Amino acid sequence: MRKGLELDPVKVVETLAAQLSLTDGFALVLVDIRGMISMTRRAMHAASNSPVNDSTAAMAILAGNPVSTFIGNYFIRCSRPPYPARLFHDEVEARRWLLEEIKGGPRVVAND
Amino acid sequence: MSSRTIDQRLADATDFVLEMSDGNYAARLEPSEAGDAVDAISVGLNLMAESLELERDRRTRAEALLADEVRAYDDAPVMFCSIELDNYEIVKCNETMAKALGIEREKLLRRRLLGFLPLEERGIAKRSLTAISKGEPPEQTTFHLRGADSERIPVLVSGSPLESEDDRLRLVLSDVTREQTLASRLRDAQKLEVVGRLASGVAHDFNNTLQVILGASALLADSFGPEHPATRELDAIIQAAGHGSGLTRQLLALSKPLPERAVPRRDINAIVRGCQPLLLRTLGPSNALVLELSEDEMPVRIDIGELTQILINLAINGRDAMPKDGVLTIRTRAVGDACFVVEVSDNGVGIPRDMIERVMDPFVTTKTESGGTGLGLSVCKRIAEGWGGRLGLRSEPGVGTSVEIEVPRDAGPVDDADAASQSGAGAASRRILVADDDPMVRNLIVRTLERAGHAVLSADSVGMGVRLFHEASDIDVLVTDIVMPDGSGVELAEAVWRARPTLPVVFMSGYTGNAIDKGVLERPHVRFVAKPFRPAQLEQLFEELEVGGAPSQ
Repeated sequence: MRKGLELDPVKVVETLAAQLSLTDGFALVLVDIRGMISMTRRAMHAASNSPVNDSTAAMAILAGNPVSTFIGNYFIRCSRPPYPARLFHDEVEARRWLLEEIKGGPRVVAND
Repeated sequence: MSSRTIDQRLADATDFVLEMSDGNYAARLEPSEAGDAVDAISVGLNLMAESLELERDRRTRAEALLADEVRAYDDAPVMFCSIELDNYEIVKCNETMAKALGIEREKLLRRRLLGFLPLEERGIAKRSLTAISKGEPPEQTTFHLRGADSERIPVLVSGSPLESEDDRLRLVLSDVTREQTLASRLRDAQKLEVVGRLASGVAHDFNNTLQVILGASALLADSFGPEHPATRELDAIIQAAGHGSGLTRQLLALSKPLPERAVPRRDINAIVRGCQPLLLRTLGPSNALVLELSEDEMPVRIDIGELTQILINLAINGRDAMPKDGVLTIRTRAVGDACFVVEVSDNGVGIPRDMIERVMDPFVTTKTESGGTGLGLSVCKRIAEGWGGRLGLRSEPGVGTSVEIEVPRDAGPVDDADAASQSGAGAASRRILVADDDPMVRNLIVRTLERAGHAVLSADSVGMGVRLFHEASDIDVLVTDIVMPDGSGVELAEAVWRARPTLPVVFMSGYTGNAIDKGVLERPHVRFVAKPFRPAQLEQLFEELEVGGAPSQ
């Protein structure tokens, strides 16, 4: 995501749908939010309740500055996505985690 | 990078928090693009404001919904209440219940529901409530609530245990007064229909018989003169026949719609004055009649006979309610521009309070000892409503009863023809064709009319009537029965109207006027007279119809 981006709910859903269209229905998602400066609660809600979530196997969120770190943590803790999600500050670590997740294969994730 | 210092941004954040604490959640902090800790705090505060705003909107909607539900509960068309199962105390109820019982809602709480039921219903109510609490069908579902004004309200009770509190019962009580009234009216209507069928069946023959008794007695009384020793007995016969005729007419009037016909405009005071002799005779020597009539002319379009019937019925009721030295007062007055009121008051024993509402229903009577039929007031009410008027009743036990008859005002002065008939002017000798298949009735009418100085031709059938009419050619009026073996009186009238379209016709019948098509009755030169009738009634109709003829000798 480019720097200085503010997301609204429509953009969130569009972005996730575009992402999913590039996969064959089972996606490991790496979200780079290092350029984000703000996010609304509605956008957060849209992201965690989008139909594309059904096909997301895991999500690594790559944060940088304090704002993106806050947003990433807030998303994981408050929105409780129905798939494994983790915050990273290092892209290599994020990719490694995602690959480890796929090795574990599809699994049911408790939504609590 | 933002050109604003950290201190300025923190000051913005502080102002923002203060705004939120004042309940303003709409504002948002602008991100600086620095992405530092202050921006992270700003984003967090923005999210918090958004959450609070959403929560407040949700709460506002929930409160509005709750208010709607409370209103729906309070203003529901049925009574709701929750009661304790062990002592039947009301712990919650809606405004509808409080209003129905006439007690403030707060004062209803902690009162026992069974206390609002009559004693005889409490036992069965307890058992029924227990059954409801167990989800079983109750023994009885209709009870009577008695509120502050002691009036009994019939209610249909249903309910269910409260899921949250197993020692409480939620009840729905529906006021079924209207349903019960309708059911009662339906029963009355069915009863009336049976009575009507019976009455119609016997009315014709019975009225023909009464016609002969009444007419023959009147002829005899005229022959003997007032001093003859038999006159008193003849008067008694006439009175009894009149009573029998009245009863038949009342039964028929109750079970069938009253005939509609064009009537002349009359002064209501003149009609009341005209009834005075009849009323005095009805009241008897031990009671007095006082007339306090308006001096202004009161034009109305009503049948004299119908108002007379009402006044006689009320006089009979007054007489029976006034054991001795009673006074029946009749007053007339205008009420606004639309109607007049004839008020008939007695100083009798009054009507028991529990009877007042029902006393105008058919077959309801207060005269248990003298054996009233319960028809009088209901017939009066029906007649008044037939005019587009109303009958109101007030009664105080031990003080008396007052009945107000509202009669719609008719614009314009009293008709001249009517005034002439009321003055009794214009007796003349006429050529009259009488048609009736009953020889006794026919002969009696012929004798009566001949004695009054008229020239009379008589026919026993429609065919004979038509023939006589054409042979005579100078008939002034046709008086015909309605039902005859070879056709109806209407057919006879239509046959003569083809030759003389405006020939006056008086139809007579032992049935009500409904036996004739309304269109025929509405013709200006047509009148109807119910059998039995007195000779004077025919004369009056001739006057109304302006039947020509030679001056009587």
